[in-house]
Amino acid sequence: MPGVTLDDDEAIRRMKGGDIGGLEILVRRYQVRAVRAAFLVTQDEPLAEDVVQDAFLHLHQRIHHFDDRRPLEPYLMRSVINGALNAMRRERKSTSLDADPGPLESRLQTASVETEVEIAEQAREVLHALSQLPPRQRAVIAQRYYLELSEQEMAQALEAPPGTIKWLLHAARLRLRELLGSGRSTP
Amino acid sequence: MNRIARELLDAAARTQVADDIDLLPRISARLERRTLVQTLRARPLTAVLAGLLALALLSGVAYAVGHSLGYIPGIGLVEPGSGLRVLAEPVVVERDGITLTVTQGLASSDKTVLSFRVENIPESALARDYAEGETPPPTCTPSERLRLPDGTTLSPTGGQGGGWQLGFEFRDTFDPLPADVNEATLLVPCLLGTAPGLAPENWEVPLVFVPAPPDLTVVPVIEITPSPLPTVESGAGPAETPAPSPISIERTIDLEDGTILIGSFHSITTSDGLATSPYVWYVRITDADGNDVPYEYTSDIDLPAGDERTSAWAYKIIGKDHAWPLTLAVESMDATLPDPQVSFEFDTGPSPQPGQEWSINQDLNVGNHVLRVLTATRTPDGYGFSFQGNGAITGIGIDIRGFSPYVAPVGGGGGGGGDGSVSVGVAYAGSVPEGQLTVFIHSATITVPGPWSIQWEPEGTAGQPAPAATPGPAACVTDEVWEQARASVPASVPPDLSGRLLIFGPNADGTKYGINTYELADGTREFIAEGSWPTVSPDGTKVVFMGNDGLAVYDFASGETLTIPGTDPTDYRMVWSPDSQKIAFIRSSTDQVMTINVDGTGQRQVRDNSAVYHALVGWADSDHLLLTEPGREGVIIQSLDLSDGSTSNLFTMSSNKADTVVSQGGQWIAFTSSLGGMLGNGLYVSHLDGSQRRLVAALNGRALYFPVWSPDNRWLILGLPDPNDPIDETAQAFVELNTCRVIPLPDLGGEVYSWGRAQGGP
Repeated sequence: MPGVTLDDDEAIRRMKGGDIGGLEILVRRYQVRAVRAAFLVTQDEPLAEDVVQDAFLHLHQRIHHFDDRRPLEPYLMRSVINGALNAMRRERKSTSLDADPGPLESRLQTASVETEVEIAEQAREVLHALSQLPPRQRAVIAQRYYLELSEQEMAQALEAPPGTIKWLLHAARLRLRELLGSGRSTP
Repeated sequence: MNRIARELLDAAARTQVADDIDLLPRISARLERRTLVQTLRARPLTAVLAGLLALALLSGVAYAVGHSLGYIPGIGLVEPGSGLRVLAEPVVVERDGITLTVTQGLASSDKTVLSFRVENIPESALARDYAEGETPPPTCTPSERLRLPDGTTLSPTGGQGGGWQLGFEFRDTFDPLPADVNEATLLVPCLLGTAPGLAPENWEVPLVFVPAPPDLTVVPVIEITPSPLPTVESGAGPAETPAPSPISIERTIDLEDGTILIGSFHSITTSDGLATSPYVWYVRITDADGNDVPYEYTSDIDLPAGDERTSAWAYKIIGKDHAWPLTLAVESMDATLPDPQVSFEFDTGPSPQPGQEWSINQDLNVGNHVLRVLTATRTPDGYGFSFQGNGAITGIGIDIRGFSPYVAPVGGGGGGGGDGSVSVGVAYAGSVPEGQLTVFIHSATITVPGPWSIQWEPEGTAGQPAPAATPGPAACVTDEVWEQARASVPASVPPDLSGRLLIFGPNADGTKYGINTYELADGTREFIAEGSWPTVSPDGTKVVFMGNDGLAVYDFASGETLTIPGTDPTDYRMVWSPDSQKIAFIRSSTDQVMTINVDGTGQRQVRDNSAVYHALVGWADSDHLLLTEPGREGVIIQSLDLSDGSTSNLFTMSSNKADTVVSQGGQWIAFTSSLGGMLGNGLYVSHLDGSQRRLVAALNGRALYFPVWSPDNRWLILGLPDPNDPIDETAQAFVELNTCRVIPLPDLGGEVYSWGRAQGGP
């Protein structure tokens, strides 16, 4: 058979049938995005890779509990983000929410991304700013702006009420805006 | 969505996470190429089924043709008759408090089946509990074996299983035991989910098989031919002759508490051609009155692997008192067009670089559908292609030719985005082909619209009067009720309500975000503090919430807010004791369940490193906390005695949603649990011991968030999908439990989190 060009459904079906090839397909498809999402939370690339390995192994072990009617990616990424948060707890890498928080959009919407140099510079700034956020705030930023989950999906993933997600996002945006130097938030 | 934000975050992550990471070798090593669940391959059963299927397709009438196989609950399908041997008795091995129980075993002429369960794995042994700074250890995935007296070992050829964190249960199928071998040893190298060295390893469980007793319960398997009624052709296009239904029922098993149906989905001829590898996402089963019938996937029947033309299924219909016949209906199925014979060409030019993109913009005819190739992109190890279609094609398989020598790709894949877009890629282990390339589409996945259905009823029920309709669990809130309430009931606060709502939202001028009060008596609203997760004390005098520096308490009498000493910003999910003197919460930084007096004294850790597994629910009384623990049958509500740390199980709910809430007086609990079979979850209320359980809401599987109890336990405020924006927004509604009145909340400027009693009220 030429190639392994199957969609998620078929890959899941293969996994449920005991074919590890299904998992391989999903790993190749989602590993980069998953590790980057995990990295945005952990700020630690090896730890992010461990988290994603665990998420795929978890998926493999629990594939018969996966509801076929739902899309795979949000399910997988939920596992990745929660895994990253758990890893942060284990590693005691939590930082405190010690300052006036402050929105990603205003900074990012005004950002110029016309050249690769500018992108790289701003990426470094964003990375540094993210590192100053508590893990749960990093998680909501990664979910909302990198994985582009809806607030309802985020609420389900983090097992928190939607209002709490709104607040975490609100606080994270404000904090980022302050850290990115586009003006302090109004009290 | 904010494209720039996404690009910047991607760029930020890209600085540390390269495009060419490859986790597969490490994942594969951890899996040891051993899957937990394997299906029978090339087993005699497959041949039997194939024969039956051929007969079924030639026929068209549902009738019983014989009883050749038997079914043993927990074991699966067996060939009854002489030579059946069973486990002499269940075998229990205990090591360090962990029990491994081989609950069932059967040896027949064609297979050996073992079911075993492991319980009481300590949280400390689980892989996720490794110490700070330690490199994460690998997680055990057991590769159990069956060792025979001569030293040979058998590996599972099939089976099913799953775990609940603190335990797991597997049912494994092995090759048959030789007729003269009645003893074997189950070898379990390690326990699922544990880290090496943290739990007993290399378990050996001696097993003895004895001839099956004459009274062994073997339920006859009734083999039938499927009846393709009604005949419904695919909506994918006109067919000259009516196509047979792609659903067949081949076997039934009559149990005391339900019926197992075993059948197949079949390839179907559409206007695009023969669509193979049928896959059905969801089957709806209804009774003669059109009511949904609960059913579930079976866990002890090894389905044949099938082939390109069929895929097998087995469902257990729950209950037997249905209005017959039942109808199994499928709205659509995914299937594959095996060889659309379509290709396109593109020229990479010399030395294409990762990230380089070519616009192709060429229309292809795949079956009867137009699929437009938009672009090709060089990826680090191959190429990616984007297509746009009309939504009928949800995935494609491709191969690249035109270069020499030909090298098959090692990976890749793609699927549809739900909007007609399809992305697909191919990856190569070595050099990536370049130059003038031809891309062949060798398969296309299409969604074939139905509907199709098939009816079934037990033998002997045809023509009999239908039983009296079994009243299903009536919910106060359903999709229909909620839609009707939104249309006909003005959003309002019922005038007979009293007390104070705590609302999480912006202040009046929108400059702050936090906690507001709303007085039900007069509708006044006041912003009291910045923070989140407000919870009012049962006596109505105080509010605890998550502040920037830790947990904070707002006192209504003084209007002052004080941070509780000793708490930190990672503390959350606070619940008040019934006497309003203590607060329990989870410390997420350490996963501990804590209690503390409202003045900050008496801080105490009541569960260590366990919040991952034990969600905090509330207080039963001043001496008992309610927690949840994952269990074999679902999530167990436990009562933790704070005086001695002992726990007792109250009841089990089947869902693990974290929206279990105890009423303020501790008499009632609201929780989600399964509605039965595939019907999703509903919100229930019951006493703390699970008695007087009552279904409050059933919303077709959608989530219900954190119900809010009224101080008098008469009302719940439920978060329900907002019809105007069901994806991102939640609307709330008052639900009166005694009358099932459903009243949409008016816009109160935020989300209600808590409901306190009126000042000076009861």
